[in-house]
Amino acid sequence: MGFEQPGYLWGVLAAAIPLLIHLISRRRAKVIDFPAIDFVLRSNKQIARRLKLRQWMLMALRMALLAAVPLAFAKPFTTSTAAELTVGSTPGSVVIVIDPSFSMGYQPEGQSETLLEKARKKARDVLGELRAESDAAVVVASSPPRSLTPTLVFDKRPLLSELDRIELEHSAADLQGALRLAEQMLVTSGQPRRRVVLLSDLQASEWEGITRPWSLDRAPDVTVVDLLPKDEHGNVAITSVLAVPESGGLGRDVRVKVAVLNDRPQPFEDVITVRVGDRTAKSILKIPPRQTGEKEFTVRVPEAGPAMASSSIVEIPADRLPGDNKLPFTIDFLRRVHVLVVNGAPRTVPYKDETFFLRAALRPGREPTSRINPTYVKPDELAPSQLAYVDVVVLANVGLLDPPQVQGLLQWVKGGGGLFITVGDNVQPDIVNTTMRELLPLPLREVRAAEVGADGQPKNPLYFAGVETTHPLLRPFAHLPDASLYLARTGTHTLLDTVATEGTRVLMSYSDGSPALVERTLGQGRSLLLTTSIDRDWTDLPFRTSFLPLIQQTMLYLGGKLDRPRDAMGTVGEVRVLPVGRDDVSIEVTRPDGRVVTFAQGDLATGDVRFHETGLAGVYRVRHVRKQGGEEEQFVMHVDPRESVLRTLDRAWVETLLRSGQAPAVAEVMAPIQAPPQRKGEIWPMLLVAMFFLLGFETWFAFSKA
Amino acid sequence: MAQTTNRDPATLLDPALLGRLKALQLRAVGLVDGVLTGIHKSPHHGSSVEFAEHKEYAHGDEVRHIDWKVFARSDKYYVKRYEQETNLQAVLLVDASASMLYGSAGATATKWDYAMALAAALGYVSLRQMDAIGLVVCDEEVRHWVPPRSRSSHLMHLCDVLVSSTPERGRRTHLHTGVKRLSEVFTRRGHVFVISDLLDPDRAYLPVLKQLESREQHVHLLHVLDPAELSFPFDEVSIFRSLEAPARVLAEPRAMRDAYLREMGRFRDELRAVCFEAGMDYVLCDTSQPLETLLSSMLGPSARAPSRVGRF
Repeated sequence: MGFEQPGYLWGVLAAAIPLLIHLISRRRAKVIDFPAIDFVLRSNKQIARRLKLRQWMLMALRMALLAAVPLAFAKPFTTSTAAELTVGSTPGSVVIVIDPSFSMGYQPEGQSETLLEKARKKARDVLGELRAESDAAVVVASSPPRSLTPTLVFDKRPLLSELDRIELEHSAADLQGALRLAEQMLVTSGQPRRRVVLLSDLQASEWEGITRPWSLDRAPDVTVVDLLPKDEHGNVAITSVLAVPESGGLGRDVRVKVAVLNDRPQPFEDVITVRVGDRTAKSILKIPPRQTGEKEFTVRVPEAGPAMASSSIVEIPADRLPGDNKLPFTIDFLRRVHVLVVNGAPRTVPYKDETFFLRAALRPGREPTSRINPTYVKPDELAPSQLAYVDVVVLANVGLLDPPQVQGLLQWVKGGGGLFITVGDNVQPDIVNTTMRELLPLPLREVRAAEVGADGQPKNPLYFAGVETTHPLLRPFAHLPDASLYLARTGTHTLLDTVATEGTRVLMSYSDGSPALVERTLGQGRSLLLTTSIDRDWTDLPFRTSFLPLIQQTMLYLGGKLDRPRDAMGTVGEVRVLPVGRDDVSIEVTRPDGRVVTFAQGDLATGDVRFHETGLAGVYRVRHVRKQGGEEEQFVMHVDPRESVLRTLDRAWVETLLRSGQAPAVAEVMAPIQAPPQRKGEIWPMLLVAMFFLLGFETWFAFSKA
Repeated sequence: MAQTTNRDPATLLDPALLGRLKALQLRAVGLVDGVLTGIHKSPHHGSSVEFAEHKEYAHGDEVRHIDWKVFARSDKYYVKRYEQETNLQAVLLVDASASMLYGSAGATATKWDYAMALAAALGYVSLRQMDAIGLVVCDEEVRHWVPPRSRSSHLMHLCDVLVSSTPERGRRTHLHTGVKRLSEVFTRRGHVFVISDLLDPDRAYLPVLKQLESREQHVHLLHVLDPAELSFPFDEVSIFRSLEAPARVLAEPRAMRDAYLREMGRFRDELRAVCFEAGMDYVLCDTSQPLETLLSSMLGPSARAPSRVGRF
């Protein structure tokens, strides 16, 4: 039932006036001293019950009379769907589609059950009304949709018992898929009457893009039961949290930026709390109606490092949809890569220096938050003792190293270091093959230079081709077929002896098929060789925009920091790519419900793991099991933020769409959604008539003798 | 409610009222047992002046009363019997319980004032015809007992006792105590006037009164009621509070008036029936009625035939 003018409902309080008069007059009753009190007592006792009944009836009449007036002015109407839920006395097939999406966890004002609980109750009612000759099924519109029974069943008991096991999802519902599944089940029915009963809150975002779900021309009868009262659109939700360490992650301060959606017709003003470990920050947040508000906090964490999601939470006071009022988050402290660049051709003129472009790529724009921390030395300054403090060593056009330096590097690489070798004028293949052979992925053969034209440019330059975009290093170029990387022209490069060597992999080739970027695994480390220079002498790659991500990816990859996903937060239902560490034996993922999913070594061969079971909102713990120890990280999956917006569609619109497929777009019908729902029955005229009857009855009753 | 005040005893004897009372002819036409000679006839037979009847001699009769003339004529012994004139004795039993304090706006006085005036009037009438009059004042207990006297100054004493016996709030009606005491101390034939509202839930006084009546002590039950008690004229919802007990009740008078009047009528009918069966007089004394009207109806020429005790 609804009201056209709900403001008049305040007048119902006037119904209390007779009660107040009764109480006041009782208190102010005159006291009379009377000797024949026994007769009064006896007389009163004789008529007491009758009199009390009469008085209560009279008071009830008067209260009803006073309540009827504002009720009539409020213009009540009914929107009951009970009649339409009745499947009827003729046998038929019924498929009940239940929307288990997150928004169905909403508990309407003044009700003790959530929308999903109401849906279960309605489903039970429908199943209870069905005749024994009618068969039925229940389809849960989860993603993907599923049926509680493989086929339509005549025995409703299994369905009734399974109804309680339908749990609230944390994602949106797949209504289209569920309705299609319902149709498929009904197709097998031999019953003359086929009906689909949809129990949903008709949340608008779930119907975007939905077309007529029926594959057959003749659609089944559809009954849509709208479970959310239309006058309720109130929800406040935390839609995002971004926690960024201050000072490039060098300090302990973390800036937490929280976005809160106030999808209510009234303003929101309440406390928002951020907890990181045992540190708590609180603030008042004010958000106008139907808007999103943001709040920034600076929290000093106990120690710098990746804060665990389980102990980092932002929350607002719980409302009628409590699942989106609390959000765990992770703090992605940057794990810096310390790079030691050995400059084989230093120049006093900066742009002529071998590492001029490399410097720019390693610290772009002098961004202090860069994850790469480079140090530059000359070849003779390279000391093996320095290696203990670096993750990556770049040998930029280094032609010669002392044997101790080479041995030191070799041991360091085998111990887990990353070596990036680039060539140039200083690199003589014979010498390098002799002195640094063990560091090279493949032996160098000779330098090949393209013929130079009159303009000083190579006449037939080589281009990069055969890029292994499945490799983590080159994955950013997987979806960029027109990346500038492919436009880079290389005039001179070093040819390699392509003798098959264990642990060697060509990641990138030139257009003539010769290797451009080669990787070799050495112990627990890697060696990477670029067969051209990183300055402008042999190639124009440093001029290309792809040079920066290529260098950054190379450093992170060699430094072992490419594994960690930068964004440790996502939305439920998204496929989560779990990078496989070099030494991972297996990966164990513990879901928020405690279930553990294990990826064995065979699953890790492809370089990363795709984790699909992200249907629950909450904290997922990922444990990289290694031969020696292991590493644990976490990621957080949030509720689908669209589910927090409780704007719903009109039932008539949904029925039109399902019956004919001809319905205006969701965006067009959003405006009428907030208008009063379609009225099914006006009650107030009857109320007025009843009021006059009450008035007459009250008059007669009041003046009649007790 | 009309108020009871401490009154001078003399004021009980309103000169106008007394004047009217003088006009009343108190004729004792019955037989009165007494020692003093008065205008009332004694039921005792003795050696007085007026012959009454002959009685066959029996053992124990005095020989001097044998009528020898009759013996001479009939050869049988008959004894002469005479009627003697004697004084009337009467006792007033006045209820001084708290309920007697009530007096509504429609009444001329409170029930207690009315009862005092009634008692004083009866005392005056009695003393004026040389009869002895006594007084018992009681509530839960006997507060005063004044033995019967016939001296003219006795009236002032009676009035003094009445005025000093103003009812106290909270004192309950318990007539049985007073009536029982009366039956013990007043054993001679005579009249007993019970002046009360009779709002005593314990009806044990009625058997004692019947016993008195059977002892030829004619009982007059003077039922004093306020007009409000008779008609229950209240309209508004009120809390009715007892004058004698802590009882109180919130009631809607309009709704319960009929039931009340039925109860009150039944109560009076029961009393009237008991009095009729026992030979007692029952007189309803409505305090809205003038007292002389009541006395006229009790003692005037239109009063009923004298009882075997004698007419007061």
